Amino acid sequence: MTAWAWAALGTVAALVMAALGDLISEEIRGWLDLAPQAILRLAATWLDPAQRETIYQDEWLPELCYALRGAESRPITRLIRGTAYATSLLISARRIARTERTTRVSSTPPKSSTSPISVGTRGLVHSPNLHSSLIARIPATTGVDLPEWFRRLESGPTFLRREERANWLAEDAGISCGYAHAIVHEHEMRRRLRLRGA
Amino acid sequence: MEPPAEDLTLTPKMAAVIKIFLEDTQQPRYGLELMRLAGQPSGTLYPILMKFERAGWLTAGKEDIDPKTEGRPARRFYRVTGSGALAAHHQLAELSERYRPPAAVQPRLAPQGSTA
Repeated sequence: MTAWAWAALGTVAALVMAALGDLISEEIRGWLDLAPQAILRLAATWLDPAQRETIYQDEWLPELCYALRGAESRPITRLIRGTAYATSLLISARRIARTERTTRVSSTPPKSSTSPISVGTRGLVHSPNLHSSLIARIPATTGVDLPEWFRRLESGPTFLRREERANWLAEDAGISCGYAHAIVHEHEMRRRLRLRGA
Repeated sequence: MEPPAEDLTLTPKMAAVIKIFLEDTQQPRYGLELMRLAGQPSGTLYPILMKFERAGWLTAGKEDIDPKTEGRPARRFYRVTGSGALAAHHQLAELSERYRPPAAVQPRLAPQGSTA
């Protein structure tokens, strides 16, 4: 009789312990999500109100939620990943806020006259300075001098647009698009000068 | 029409980030993913993304999900623009030029069999 009572008591105790274990792990699981979010909220205190909307609400928080959901089945990975992301932002929040303010304040459209590179209807166009420096470097960089590049262009297929011609040259000779555009542009300029002189 | 990309001088860290976008220009990229792929901490990555976005090299958007179904808010993604990709190619070539060792310098090796 006593043995039965002990067995019953043992079973009840085991059930209670199992239920408690479940409750405790559930509680810990909840805290795992809260800890990185609390760190992230702390990081957001370095942001001004407008930045809290654009940086914290739109960028940081969705990323953290994604990190926490993505590793849902592995609580330790989730804790490490989420905490690492939130902590790195806590450390760098001031720097990010400062950069955002700088780029926001100075966000004026670029002036095409001072920009060394622009993409117009005729393809990639370099500023005169950049163009000269590219042309000067071409023999050393490509191992082929300019007259030889011009000969290759003249013996290549005929294209109507400069961009098509530069793309063909870049692909055919295996050089960068920047150099190919510079060669094509230089070739055109010299041809025009020859025509004017003739 | 897409505005032209503003000129930016790339640093090696910026190059590591923009290269990821050039691997697949149609692929949207996310902050945490970029931190892992570029091996850059958030304090480096986010300011770089802001500079690229401001210069017109990158454009940002919202992930196309239903937050209620997914149980999480939509993330912000970045994608390279056409003019940004072109400018990035050019600037990566420039950066590679800046770090190319001079051709005249050859490593001096000890002659074979020498004990000195």
